[in-house]
Amino acid sequence: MDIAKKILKGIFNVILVIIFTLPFYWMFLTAFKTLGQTLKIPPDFYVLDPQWVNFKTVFEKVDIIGMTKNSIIVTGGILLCQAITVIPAAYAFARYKFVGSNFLFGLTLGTMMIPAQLIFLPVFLFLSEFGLINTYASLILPSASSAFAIFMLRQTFMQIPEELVEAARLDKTSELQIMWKIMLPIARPTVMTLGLLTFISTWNDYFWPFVLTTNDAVRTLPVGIAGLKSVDGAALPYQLMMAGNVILVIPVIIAFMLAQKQIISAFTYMGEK
Amino acid sequence: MKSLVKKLMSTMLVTAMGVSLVGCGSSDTGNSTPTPSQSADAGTPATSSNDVVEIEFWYAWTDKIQENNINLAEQFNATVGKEKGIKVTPVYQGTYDDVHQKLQASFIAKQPPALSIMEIASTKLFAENGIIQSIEPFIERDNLDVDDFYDGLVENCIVNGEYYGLPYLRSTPILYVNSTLLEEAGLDPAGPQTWDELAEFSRTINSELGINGLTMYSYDWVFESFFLQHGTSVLNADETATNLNSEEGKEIFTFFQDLVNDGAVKVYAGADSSKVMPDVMNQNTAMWFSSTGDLTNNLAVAAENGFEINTAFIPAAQTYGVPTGGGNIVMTKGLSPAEEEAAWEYMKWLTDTDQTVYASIYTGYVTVRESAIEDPQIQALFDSTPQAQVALNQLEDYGHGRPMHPRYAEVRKEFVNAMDAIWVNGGDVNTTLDEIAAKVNRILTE
Repeated sequence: MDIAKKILKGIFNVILVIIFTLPFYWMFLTAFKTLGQTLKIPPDFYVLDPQWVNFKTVFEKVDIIGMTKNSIIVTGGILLCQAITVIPAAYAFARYKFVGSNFLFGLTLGTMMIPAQLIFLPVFLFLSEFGLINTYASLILPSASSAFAIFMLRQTFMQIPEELVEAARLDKTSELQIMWKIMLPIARPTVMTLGLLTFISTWNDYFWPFVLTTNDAVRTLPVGIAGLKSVDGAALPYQLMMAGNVILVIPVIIAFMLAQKQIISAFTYMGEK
Repeated sequence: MKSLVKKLMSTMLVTAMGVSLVGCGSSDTGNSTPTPSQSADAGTPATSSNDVVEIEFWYAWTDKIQENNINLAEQFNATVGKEKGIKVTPVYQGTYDDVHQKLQASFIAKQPPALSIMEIASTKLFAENGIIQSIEPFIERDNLDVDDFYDGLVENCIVNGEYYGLPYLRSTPILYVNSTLLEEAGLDPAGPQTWDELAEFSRTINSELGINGLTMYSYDWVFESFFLQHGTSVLNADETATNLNSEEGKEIFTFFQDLVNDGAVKVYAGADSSKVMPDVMNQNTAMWFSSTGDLTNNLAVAAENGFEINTAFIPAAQTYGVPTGGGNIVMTKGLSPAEEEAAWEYMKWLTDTDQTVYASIYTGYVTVRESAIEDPQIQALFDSTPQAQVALNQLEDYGHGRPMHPRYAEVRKEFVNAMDAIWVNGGDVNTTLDEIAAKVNRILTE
């Protein structure tokens, strides 16, 4: 009985793994095909003669180095800004009762419900009034805070026993220190997860970097990669698009592998609490 | 799924932009009156110390088209531009839709580029909204030989009798045939000349070789050509109603529906346009419609897979006839006089014979000037690739403009819906067309 259960579980896991890795495998595979092979029916599930030249072509067509630099600056800037704005806000919402705190929290959550497509034009006009179009600031400022992150972190902070904070206050620890030295280390799993989520969504974001720029000066990698498919009418160069995507996702995969251990151990800790 | 999300998003974008445009139109009338100096510093590029006027030219698409745009700007800056103190910077902005949206946003933010590419069917919308300006005064002053442009290309440059753009990267749809397969089926490798032959070819290929005679997708551009071939058009002359459910319309839909039912023609839904090329590549079809601009690519695909390609006019019903497509170059409104002069200088140069020859050879778009056909490079191209000449011949005698109604973008979607409903999903011709025609007429007259 037990063995049957284990086998079933094993099969289920294998299926899950296939579902999640197949798209990635397909992306890597297509990146090494010729255009002819990408359109072949039935498709090939292996490549005997990998086309490294696809990557060379992508580097020729897209300013990978410059756009990666832009991506790093924008993603780094947003992570930094969010750390500065989100953590104190979450702490305040979690631990202080002040006039209008519920209203303000509701307002913060409300911003999550407004689609980006609705506000990008006002944002564009606003930034252009300040002469910020085509600067890093124009890509960082609209995402300098995150309602979702504030909400998540607030929930985590609220779970931390009040006694801990009170004990610290008795020791005359400053509020900043309580936040930094007590709350944050306990909330580490959430912080790590939020950081990773923000990193991935910012790194992959196409919409904002595209609509808020009118030249290549600060455009990020996804905008460049998307350009690979922007050919008028002709057959889409799938092999180049996928080679571009491989370049795009490698940092995300590395970031995930680095953070994975921390996140898992942190979540385990949460569970045992 | 992804394309659905994308479509939804772009629809929302267009709607949002449309709403904001309306709002802007009214506020702008109050704004634009003050002083010309205000509009002068509104345009981003200012004259630098050496009296060089710097202007931006926004374009769509990457790859060969991008390289062509960059190369030509460099040539200009090194020659005419150097002489006259003009520096043109080409800037990539995505697809045609992206360019249009960004143009609107930049107009509202008062930072438009001096020049932009514009998909031809949108010219009227932008002209009537005051985003692009009439270039009629410049044409008259410089006596520009506009008669040298092909008639079919010029139609979409003119709004209310005035030029608002010049033809730049333009194309027409043509019929591509896999002549190797045609020969195998015992047919003329030159391809069918009439709709009757098209039907006969398709059925023969299907019965002889067991593949699709013709593969196409619900493509509004090619769809326009079907009406032109029946001596009519998708919209009536003053664009107040559609001819979708006319006798001709019903004939067109029934013609292809019969072929689809017999398995001789395969039609993919508008959202599945990318499925046509695999059919071509795997020799699962012998004929397909595509832009002249795809010739180089198609020849490469054919060579890789060991078959030959011919091009032909899209077959005639009562007559031959195709719409033209692609992009014009347009000048925005609100520029300083110096910027206007610079922009005009570049427009004029870019659409002149030598440059259109360069662009045509580099990208596969047609040459926009009739005089280009005498160019030795074009003659050499026709010698080496006779398939390229078909497009020009078709354009010269049978090229037409596209509808210019400001809401034609919505109308086109309805046409695609009609094709999807009838050819892909087997809907009834009469009821479907009456229903969609009513919808289209509402859009046109609202």
